[in-house]
Amino acid sequence: MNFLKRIFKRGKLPTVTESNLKFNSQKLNNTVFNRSTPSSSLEVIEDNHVTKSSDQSEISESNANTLLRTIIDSEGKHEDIFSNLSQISNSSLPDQELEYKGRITLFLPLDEVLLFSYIPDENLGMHEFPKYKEYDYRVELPEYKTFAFLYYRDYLEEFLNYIDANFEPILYTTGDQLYVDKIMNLIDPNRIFPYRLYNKDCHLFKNSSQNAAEYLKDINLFTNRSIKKKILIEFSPLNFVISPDNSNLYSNSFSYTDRTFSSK
Amino acid sequence: MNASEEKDETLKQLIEMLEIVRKEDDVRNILSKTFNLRQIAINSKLL
Repeated sequence: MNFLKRIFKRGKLPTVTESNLKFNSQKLNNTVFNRSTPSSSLEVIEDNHVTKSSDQSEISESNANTLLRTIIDSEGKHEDIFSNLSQISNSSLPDQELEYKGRITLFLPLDEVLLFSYIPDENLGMHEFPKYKEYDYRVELPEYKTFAFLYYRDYLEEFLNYIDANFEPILYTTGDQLYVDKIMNLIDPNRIFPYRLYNKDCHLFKNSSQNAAEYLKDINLFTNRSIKKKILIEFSPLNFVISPDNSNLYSNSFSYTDRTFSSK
Repeated sequence: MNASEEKDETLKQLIEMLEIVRKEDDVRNILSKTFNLRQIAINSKLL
């Protein structure tokens, strides 16, 4: 992922690569687990564990908790994930509107699920330019002195209509508000997504050993939505760390280089 | 540019999954069993 993409989509700090973050159930230790690391979301997480399904019974309560709270960096050093999260002071959602009452709240990312965007890299040029599909839209980003090509996923309109009719869809991205709003105003002018959440609504996870950081989504922050009625769709495994029982890891079968694109 | 005739079915598949999940009183019942990310994380020493 190039530098500009990181700025727009994942915040302004260097990104921790997934390969550098490892859960390692073999190296769990109680010292890490017993650390006192209060979090606004922690109580809900505990609730998740209490209600875990029977087929997970082989996972002990303490192991599951420790797994969720512990990462092991590339050097094998333990870190308690909650001790490295910045607290969010004002992240909240308004109460559910009447038209959505009884529906499941669906938290969806923007990039890589609804569409792909390509932002040319000033150093690498256009070498990543997709080969198999014309872009759907070009978005000017003068604030960042660049532009982006948007590639909508096939069946995007059908999908948006479906979630509009059946869920309370909420956009939850790790991207910059200015960038996200520009794109969402194009693909969702009628506000199928009544609310948009941005990187400022995420925890900031800092990997102190690598002097790097990553935004981390936490749907448990929004306590005026029932934990029984929340789903996080997510392509980045790091983001379901906090709410694994409410998450669907989104397998990305869509890339710039494969041939799953349709003709325009 | 070359254009493949094959369409990306990802969003259609996502609709199929959501159609199952949305009927649940507690989404965790099916998400934790079907996708079981907690178990996947442990088995694969995830990330």
